[in-house]
Amino acid sequence: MRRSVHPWLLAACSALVVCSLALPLSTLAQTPVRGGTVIVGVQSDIPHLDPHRSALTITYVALSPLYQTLVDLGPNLELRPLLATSWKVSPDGLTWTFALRRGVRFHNGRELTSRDVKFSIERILNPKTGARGRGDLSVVDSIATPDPSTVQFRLKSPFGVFPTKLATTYQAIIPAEAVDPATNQVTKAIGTGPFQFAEWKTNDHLALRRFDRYWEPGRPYLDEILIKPIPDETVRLTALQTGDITLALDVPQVRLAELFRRPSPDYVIRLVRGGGGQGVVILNTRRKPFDNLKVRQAVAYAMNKRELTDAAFRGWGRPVNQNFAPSSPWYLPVKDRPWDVAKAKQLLAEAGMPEGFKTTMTVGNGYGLPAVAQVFQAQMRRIGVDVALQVYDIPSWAKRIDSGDFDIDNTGYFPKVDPDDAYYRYLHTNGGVWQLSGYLHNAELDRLLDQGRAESDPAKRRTIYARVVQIVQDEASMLIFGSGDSAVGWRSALRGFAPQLIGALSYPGGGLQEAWLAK
Amino acid sequence: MIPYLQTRLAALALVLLLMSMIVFSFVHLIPGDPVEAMLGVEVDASTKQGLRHALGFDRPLAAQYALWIGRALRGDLGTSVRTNQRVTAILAEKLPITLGLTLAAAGVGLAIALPAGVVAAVRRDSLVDLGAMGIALAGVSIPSFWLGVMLILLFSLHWRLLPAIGYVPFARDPLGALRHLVLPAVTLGLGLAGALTRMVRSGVLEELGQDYVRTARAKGLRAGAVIARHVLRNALLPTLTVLGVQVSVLLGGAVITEQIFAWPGVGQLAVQAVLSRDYPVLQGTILVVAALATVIQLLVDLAYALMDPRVRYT
Repeated sequence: MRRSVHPWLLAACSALVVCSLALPLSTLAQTPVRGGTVIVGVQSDIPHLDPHRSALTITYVALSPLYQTLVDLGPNLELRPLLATSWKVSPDGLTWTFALRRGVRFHNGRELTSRDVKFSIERILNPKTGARGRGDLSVVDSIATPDPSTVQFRLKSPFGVFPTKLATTYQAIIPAEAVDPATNQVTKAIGTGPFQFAEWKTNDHLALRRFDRYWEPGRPYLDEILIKPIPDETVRLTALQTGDITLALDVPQVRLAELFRRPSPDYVIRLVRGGGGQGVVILNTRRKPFDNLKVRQAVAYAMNKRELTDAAFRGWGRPVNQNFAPSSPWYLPVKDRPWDVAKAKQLLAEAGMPEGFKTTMTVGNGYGLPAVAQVFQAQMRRIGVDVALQVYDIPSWAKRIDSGDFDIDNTGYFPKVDPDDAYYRYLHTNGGVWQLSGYLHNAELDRLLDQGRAESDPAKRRTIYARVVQIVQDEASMLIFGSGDSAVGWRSALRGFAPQLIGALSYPGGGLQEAWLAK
Repeated sequence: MIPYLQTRLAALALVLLLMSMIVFSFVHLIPGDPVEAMLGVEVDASTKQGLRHALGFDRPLAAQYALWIGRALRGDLGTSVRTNQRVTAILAEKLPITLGLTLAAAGVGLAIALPAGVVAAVRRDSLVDLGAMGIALAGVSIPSFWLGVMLILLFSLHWRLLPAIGYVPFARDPLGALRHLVLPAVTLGLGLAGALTRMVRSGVLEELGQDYVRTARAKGLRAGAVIARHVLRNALLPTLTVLGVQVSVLLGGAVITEQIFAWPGVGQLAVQAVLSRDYPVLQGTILVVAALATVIQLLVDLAYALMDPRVRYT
């Protein structure tokens, strides 16, 4: 199979993404010029320069100008060639062969070969690395390098959308000489991206300089990118307004209405539809009374998704019943359960608990999770369910959720690329983070998820995943309630920049490698 | 003086050793570990266990402490779990930034408190006194997270006089460094000014009633000279004690101020180390800041001898 992008996908993609303030007309009219420094304000500092070893979004965001992957996600998360120019799968679906782009150089000047790909993917698969992408690639059995520009992945089982698993910075291709073989730590930040590492002062800035031997002719335009952590969201927005920074990620949702009402000629604020990911409430089916389907369904009927979505995304979201934004091509037509308190009470009575019950909710203190938990708590009170909130800081919370030590949990899912990415890990009994569906056990789900993985025909996959969404909704343990938007802002002098759904600063055809500064 | 210093330094070493044990055990008492912080909820358990083993966090706590303190005694505070940089190198980079901010804040505090306190005392119960005490109360009461944001909104966004955020090294651009220093130093220094103004005022008031002041006036000294040459010298002793304690408090206050103004100092470092459970960085930071606070106390005690000839150490 050659890489193919289906017309309906393209059409849907062009229709969605972004609604924005009117851009100055001059943006379109001028030709790009070289030079200049762009200062980017981000929420937090990167933890380190290792693209594999972090699950934090900031790693993906800030290191994207530095590192590249075999395949790439466009602004709407569609797959595109990057370090691999084409790929095909064997008839049995088990061997994927990628042809590498020729003439690609690492920042240390050495040319990229298939050996580097093998090294990088094997490093991700090594459990001692602690790589975010390991679970995604666990289907890889072995990697062969028949020649310097061909790499072959032998899989344990067929995987129709395998290339999507190679497309984020967590699966970056780095050379062996960037890693200390004794400690397995990245000691030099070397990638193939349009910008190379210049300097990192922790909590102050990460400086990236234009890589003059970058493989795409004429790119990038900018001389330098400075990535500055500014934790306070009000200060970050103010810094954009004063011109202290050029580009601000995560413009506070609570300020958006005011910003759109009073547009400024100095900066542009752009909404990224679905960029906030999905909010979810999880009922632990291993704990009483949530082992009872009727109790779970009662909770689901009592949830007012609009209220929860507003709490999670400050009014910039839409209620959903699946792990995609309505703007995504993978948002499938499955009728949502209505909000029905009477029905919820009736189900509780049928479950033998007409008076309701007491339970607890384990809440992480961050990412706006407590606000959602409070709204959920109030909603449950209407059907006599008394939810005590137990709030922990993020690492403590993560530990409890990991070990399944919770009755109810709420969290958020990152924006998703492919339904396998959106459902397998949570819902398959071997998915890796099964606790995030409340250990939902349903034999049909495992079968469907395996089928969806092996299948590459989009039409058949739509049928499969529509069924998955229906089952998840009926089983009512993973209660996805809403999808939210995020917002990015930049100074008007920055031209040619287009934000990506999951926030990568740079990607071919968009982001900072296409951007330039008007004089 | 020398024996006294020896005793104090020995006590300092003991304090630091005890401190190291307390810090180590408390840091490890916080639930959740660096691996949880690094990988979050969406990564499977076997990957997490692999990393935990590779980093040595699955070893007994006592063994981890022995290893850490053994290295610390040789001046090696370990390596950051998060950034893989040496803790001593990180602190060498961050500590001067925070100390610079703290000293500037202390300067702001003194520059406001000294004149305000003296005037308030001399014009006791007047409108000036009332105003100075009102401002002092406000300085102590206004939280820095609010004040900082207000100053940014006024001076950066509204009047465009000063940069909103960031840190510029003095060596690279002295003027830029000062411009970036003003708002954070004022934010941090105003609270101190409040506390110090009250100290200076009560100190000066107390001394003004003394016989030697009357004598000085009687021999015809001008009021200003009486205050500057006689009163202040005595009145400042308690203020100095407060300043010594307050500088340690400022080091703590810098956590919030640095967060607001995106200053890459020890405060931000500590916050991030807590949130990411970066044990080596957290332990190293607390230990070094504790040592610093203790040394400042010692210096204050020694300064007493210089300011007041009656004080002698044996």
